[in-house]
Amino acid sequence: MLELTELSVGYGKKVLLRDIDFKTDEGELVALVGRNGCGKSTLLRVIAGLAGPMSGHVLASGRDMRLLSRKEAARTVSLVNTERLRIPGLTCTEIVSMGRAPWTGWTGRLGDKDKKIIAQALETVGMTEFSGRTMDKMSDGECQKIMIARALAQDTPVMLLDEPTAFLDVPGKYQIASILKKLAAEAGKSVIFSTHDIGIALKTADRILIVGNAGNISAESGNSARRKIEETFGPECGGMI
Amino acid sequence: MKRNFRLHFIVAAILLLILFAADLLTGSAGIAPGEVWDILSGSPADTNSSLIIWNIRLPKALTAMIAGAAVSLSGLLMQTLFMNPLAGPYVLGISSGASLGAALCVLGVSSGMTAGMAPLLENLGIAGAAWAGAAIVLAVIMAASRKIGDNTVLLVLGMMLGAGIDSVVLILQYLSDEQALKSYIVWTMGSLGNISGARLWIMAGTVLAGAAVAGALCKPLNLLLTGENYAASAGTDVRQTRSLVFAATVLLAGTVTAFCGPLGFIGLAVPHLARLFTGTADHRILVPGTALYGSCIMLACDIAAKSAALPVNAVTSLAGIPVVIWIVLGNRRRGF
Repeated sequence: MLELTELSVGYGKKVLLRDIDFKTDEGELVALVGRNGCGKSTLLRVIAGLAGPMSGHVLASGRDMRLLSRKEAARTVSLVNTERLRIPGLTCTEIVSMGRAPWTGWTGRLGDKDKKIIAQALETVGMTEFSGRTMDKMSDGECQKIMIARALAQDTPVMLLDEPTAFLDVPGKYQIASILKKLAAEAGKSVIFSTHDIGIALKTADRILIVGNAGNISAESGNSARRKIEETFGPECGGMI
Repeated sequence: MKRNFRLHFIVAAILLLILFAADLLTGSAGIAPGEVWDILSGSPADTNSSLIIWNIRLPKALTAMIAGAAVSLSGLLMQTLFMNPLAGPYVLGISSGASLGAALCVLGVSSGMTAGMAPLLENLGIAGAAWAGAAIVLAVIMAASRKIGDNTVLLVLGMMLGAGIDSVVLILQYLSDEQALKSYIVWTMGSLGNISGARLWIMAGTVLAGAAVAGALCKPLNLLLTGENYAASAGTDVRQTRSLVFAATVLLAGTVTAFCGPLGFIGLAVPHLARLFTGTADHRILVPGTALYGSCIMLACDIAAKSAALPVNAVTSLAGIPVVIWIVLGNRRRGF
């Protein structure tokens, strides 16, 4: 579904992550952990096609993201980034309907099918009752769910989320984690989310991509992930989880 | 919800008609409403009154409508593109750029380069220079926006650029002769008069083209409300959208500033009023709404300017400044 081959990412001349070889399966939830500034967000941007790789390829559903038009890329990979939006004049339904943009015409007019998908997306994240409300009066967790619903409405086989649990309280973090798990397991999407909540990553993700201190990435699961995290971030970190 | 918007448009359109009629009735010469109607419907009427309506008041009212819609729309485009509620053609120095272009024409070429040319060519010359001025400032701002992520820095840059250009215009004024200087000063005060015939057609056509571009951009503009990253991840070609917003702004703000002079604060204030009145940030509503409200407000400003015998720019600023203060005070609360 998503395949990274010999992928290196960075900015300018600086390589942040090198020689990534990784393949996700359908319905797999993958966590991406690493120190601040190690290149997690850059990697997600490259996978989404918003930035080019320094070398290597990103194949989504068998197609090279570099060769896709913006619209085609948006039909393949959706992204929830770290920006915290508070747009006063748009309802949650209108925000979620923006996810339909790659599928609608130049006017953005929504058909019955689009409306159904939007309603379903709001229902999946448990925000149907917020559909007519605006985000300026909602909590961080509620807004995050709306942005996930927006990505869900984009109806892509691959979904990326950049630190979706940051800024949230403990119940909020676990709510989001369980939504992501549901999306992977029930909707059959490949979901990759970056996080600093190692506990959540270990508990919910099928596999964990761990960014090493030298910009190398290893994909682990279960106890080997735990060991690798301890090895990478120090024994204190291992003791906490 | 949609029905509400329709009601909004109907009310705004009626208001526009009333203000348009009121503008036709306002002026130093007293012409009764019945007489105005007779003149417009082609019935025989007093020759002087007929001349006043056809040659002065009607073109001026049409100019007010077009100019109000154009500067307000370009303000809306800039606010969305820069994600900044204080952006506008005037604040970012775009009108200053247009002014420089026009000033180079009025002041720099006053010595005779355009003398003897057909009036149409002369008009195109001023408009063309103003467009070029506006386009250059926009290009500089956009080039900077690629390097600078911070909107506040960009806004300061725009204001500084505008101030710098104003200084150049000041030097041009200092060096120019009395006659040219006077016509330039009058131009900066903002004038909705003296635009008839070919000028009016050029302005109407160009503004219409700019408005059409703005109308066609509703979908990407809505997506840009969520930021460039979200817009791009939802399939928007951000670079192309920026270029088209440029083009529309040059067609709208550049043209109007060339013909009417810089019209202060309207472009900044009206989009906020449109958001307030319609209660939405959806550009499919805001683009026509801003144009309509912009026309209404400019007509109202023209009526006020005519009644008090003031330059229109003084009135637009006086009307716009309270709105700008209201934006600044209410910004945190509304969290634009």
